[in-house]
Amino acid sequence: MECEDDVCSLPGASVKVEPDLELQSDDPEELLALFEANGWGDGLPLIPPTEERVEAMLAAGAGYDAAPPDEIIATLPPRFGQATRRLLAVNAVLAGCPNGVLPVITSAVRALASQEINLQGVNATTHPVSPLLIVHGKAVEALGFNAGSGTFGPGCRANATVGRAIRLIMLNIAGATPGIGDASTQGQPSKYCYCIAENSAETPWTLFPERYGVDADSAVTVTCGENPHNFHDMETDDPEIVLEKAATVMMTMGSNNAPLSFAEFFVVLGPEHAEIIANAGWSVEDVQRFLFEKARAPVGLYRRHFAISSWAEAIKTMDDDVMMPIVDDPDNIKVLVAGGPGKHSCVIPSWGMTKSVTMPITP
Amino acid sequence: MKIYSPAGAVGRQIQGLAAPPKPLSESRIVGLDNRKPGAAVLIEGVGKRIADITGATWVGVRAKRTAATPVEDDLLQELVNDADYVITGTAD
Repeated sequence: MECEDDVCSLPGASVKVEPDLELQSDDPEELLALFEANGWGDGLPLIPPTEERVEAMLAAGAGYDAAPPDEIIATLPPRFGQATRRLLAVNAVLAGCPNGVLPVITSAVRALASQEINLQGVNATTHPVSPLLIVHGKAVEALGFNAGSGTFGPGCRANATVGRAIRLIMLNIAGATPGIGDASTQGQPSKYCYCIAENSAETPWTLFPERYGVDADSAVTVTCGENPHNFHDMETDDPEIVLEKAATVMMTMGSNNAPLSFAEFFVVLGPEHAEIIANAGWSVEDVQRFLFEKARAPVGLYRRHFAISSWAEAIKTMDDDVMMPIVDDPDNIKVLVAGGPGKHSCVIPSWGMTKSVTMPITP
Repeated sequence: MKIYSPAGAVGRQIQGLAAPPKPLSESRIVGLDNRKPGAAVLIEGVGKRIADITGATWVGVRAKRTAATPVEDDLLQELVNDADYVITGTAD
């Protein structure tokens, strides 16, 4: 099955894989044992990727009738596995994905392969980072993603299985096997599954993809960071009080954002917090600027914690008592709305040496 | 029941043959600090020791901006200009 021809490594080239593994029975234990013996999978039960199931997954993606199944979408580090549509479909079947979601997965893999993501570093670092997939637009309702209550949590097949499929692709194709291709010291739960949807119905602002120049009915964003860090405020109608809490969550010396001023944060606002902020007349840019002003600490504190850093040159020459922002640009704070009723929101610190990517959903 | 492997094929970089290297005694060695704690000390020690043993010229240590991103273009050009051999480290 290994590639014999250098040409097949080129993007757009084709490489065909065959269903060449034999199972003696349909006992789920046999499949799990086979995967465990080969170092594949995430340790959870799997759906057998038979030719019939994989063909059905390929056939159900909108536009897949014209998309070559064996075309290499991306070569994924650190293993440099060749991710063809068929192989992505294999992993989607394994994860239990419903038919129809393959374009979301394919687009997410394209985004992950973008230079800005730095997938080699994301997969290989000692940090616990995991790619978060955010689904936007018409695909959310059409494919059954949950953008409302518990969007980060269990209970929705699309969120759960598409998120899991991305992780299986990282494990099986990219080779991000813990302790081998993935050096993460402790890992984190979102390395099993990390997929949410933007709550477009309750977003008071322009939707996220449009703000970043993606004009499409449906899109995906991939950002690589930590688990969500919750903040709550149940008492106020003052946007400053809500966002000051977000700033305190951002302002920790323990995240990779502290020694890297160019790193991103995602601030995912619950709809009720977003409504409070928007009702006060604040735009997304106002939120970004406010957090940029509030999430600061004295330069001396940063210096005390970090001998090795990648701060902007201007920061390196500041006096110890100058209040230094944790990001060097307000636009490094990305804002979107997801979740349901309740006054909770979250901050997602980045791995650091990575930038989020938003792309249209295409086959 | 036949099923697919989930891993597929491994890609390879297209590579031509490099020119044969100079003997070490006629070569310049540069250390590239990957910015992990302690890397510069280790790399400098190894580089100087190799230069002592082989008669190579020890040029010094250069440093990347951060451990987790590739070498910057200007530093890469500096290495091309100043080094026949580069000693560096990866990961931790």
